[in-house]
Amino acid sequence: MIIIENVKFSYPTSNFNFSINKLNIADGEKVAVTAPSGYGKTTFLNLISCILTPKEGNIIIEDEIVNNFNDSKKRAFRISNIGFIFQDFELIEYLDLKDNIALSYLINPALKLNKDIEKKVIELTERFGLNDKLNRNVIKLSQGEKQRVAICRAILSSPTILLADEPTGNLDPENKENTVNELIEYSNNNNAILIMVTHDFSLLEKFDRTIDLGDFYAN
Amino acid sequence: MKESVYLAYRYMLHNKIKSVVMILSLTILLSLPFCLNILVNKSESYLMSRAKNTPLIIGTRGSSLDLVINSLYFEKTEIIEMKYDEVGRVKKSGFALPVPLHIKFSSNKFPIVGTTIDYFEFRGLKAKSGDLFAILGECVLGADVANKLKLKPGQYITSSPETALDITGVYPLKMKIAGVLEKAFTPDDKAVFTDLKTTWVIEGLIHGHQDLQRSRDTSILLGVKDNNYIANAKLYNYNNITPENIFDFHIHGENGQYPITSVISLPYTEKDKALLMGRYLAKDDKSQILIPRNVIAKLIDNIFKFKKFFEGIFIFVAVALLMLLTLVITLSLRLRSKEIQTMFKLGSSRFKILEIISFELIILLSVSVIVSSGLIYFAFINVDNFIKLVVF
Repeated sequence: MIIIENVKFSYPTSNFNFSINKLNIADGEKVAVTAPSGYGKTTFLNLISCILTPKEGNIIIEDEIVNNFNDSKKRAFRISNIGFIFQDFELIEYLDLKDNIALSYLINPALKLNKDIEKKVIELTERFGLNDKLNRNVIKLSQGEKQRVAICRAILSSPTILLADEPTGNLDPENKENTVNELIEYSNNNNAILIMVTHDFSLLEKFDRTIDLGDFYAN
Repeated sequence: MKESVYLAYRYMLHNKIKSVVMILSLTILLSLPFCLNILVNKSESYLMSRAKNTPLIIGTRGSSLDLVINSLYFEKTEIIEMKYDEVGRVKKSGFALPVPLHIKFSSNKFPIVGTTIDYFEFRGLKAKSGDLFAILGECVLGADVANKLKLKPGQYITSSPETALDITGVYPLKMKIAGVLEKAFTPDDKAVFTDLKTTWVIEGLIHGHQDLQRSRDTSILLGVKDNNYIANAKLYNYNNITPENIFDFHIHGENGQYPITSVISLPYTEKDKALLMGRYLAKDDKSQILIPRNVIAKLIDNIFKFKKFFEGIFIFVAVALLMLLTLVITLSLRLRSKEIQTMFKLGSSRFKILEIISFELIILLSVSVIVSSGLIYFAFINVDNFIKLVVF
């Protein structure tokens, strides 16, 4: 469960202010986040994932105040508990498909790459129809394939929270539908929280709840 | 750590051209000073070895460097000729064996060295095929001359006129090749050796022509004066020396007055050397005696001054190259900022990202060091062949 209490945040070099007095997100809940540009959608995701630290208030995840963690613990928490999916996929172009999926295991010693993980990578690629492209460079993949690789990367470590920042923004309708369905399926199967930032109102009905950040204090 | 090495390796493999260019730049930066140093040191020892093996050189007063360079390496220099009498002076002193040199002419751009048979013994030169020259008009070719001109004993080589427009000067002389020397990896390989008198023939000081007394063509004869026959320009001069005409060649004047360029003097003992040098101390003596080793050492000292100057320039070039590499790395990091940001968002520490980038540099540097070591080793074991190929 995620509990956000009296959180205030601002960037030192701008007059942007972000504020949430109270917000609870239950385990397994699928939440769509909407707001006009500049209302802090990405800031919201970065606060939950401990990339940013609030100036005031607490973010409590699994009964722990995560914003009080030191940097090292924040990173370990993030890489073990949070799966990220980005609008432009943010795959590493010099790595092949399987290395991109296992990237989290290559960049933080909190996750150990072993035979089981390698086996899981293969299983995921089979499930997402990517198993014939394991050694292919990600540059050579289609947009839909790239997003599937990004989803595989996000769920490989079985995170309890999935944060998706406009993941369907660059996809055609078919891939858009498939991507959201995959994320919701993962959430259902693993009782994981799914928070997805989107501008696409046609997708909102797939979520348990929609949070409009405009309803909170933001200017 | 192995994950960081792996990521660094994958990055470099993906950016092959950039990696290769950086490795090559670093390799040049690391290996060039060492390779040049090996080359300069070896060249120095080659220069010195010939000078060390030549105890004394006598020549006309003037540039000592020109004299030594001409006598040791047969390079055409501005030296003033001396008289053959100098050979007699050394011989008469009893302190040294004189080996005269007359290095003035060339054939197919190879210097013609007029000397005596003693020269070959002194330098340890032996004929690989044929023999050393024995009679007037014969010559011996250095190994490279024979190889380049594809000549062998029994064939002929012609001396080149000094200048194309000098119609009254030196006539080309066709010399018979008596033999070809073994390869010595010294300037001797690139020279045509002949008897001193043959060079005087080339110079026109010894000449051969049809016998006026035996000639049936009376129109050649202008008259007789003091029992000497005077001929006109119709008189046929020989341009090669054959068994049939060799006895028609003759000197007008005294041998001692004929030109040579220098005398290599081989003292019998150290004491003789000192005594012989003492004979040339007089300030009004037209000749000078030199220890080639000292002259070449001075030349090398000057070369080393230039070497230090170039080393200074190289430091500037190295700094510039390092700055360029730093710029490439900085720009590369800027281009990779999104990738770095992604890794950070996913949970990588800044230290880990720094570790990955550091391993890239370590791999680049390691490969460059290995390639440089290979190059330096290659330069070290092949420097002799390289110098022999380029210089000799």
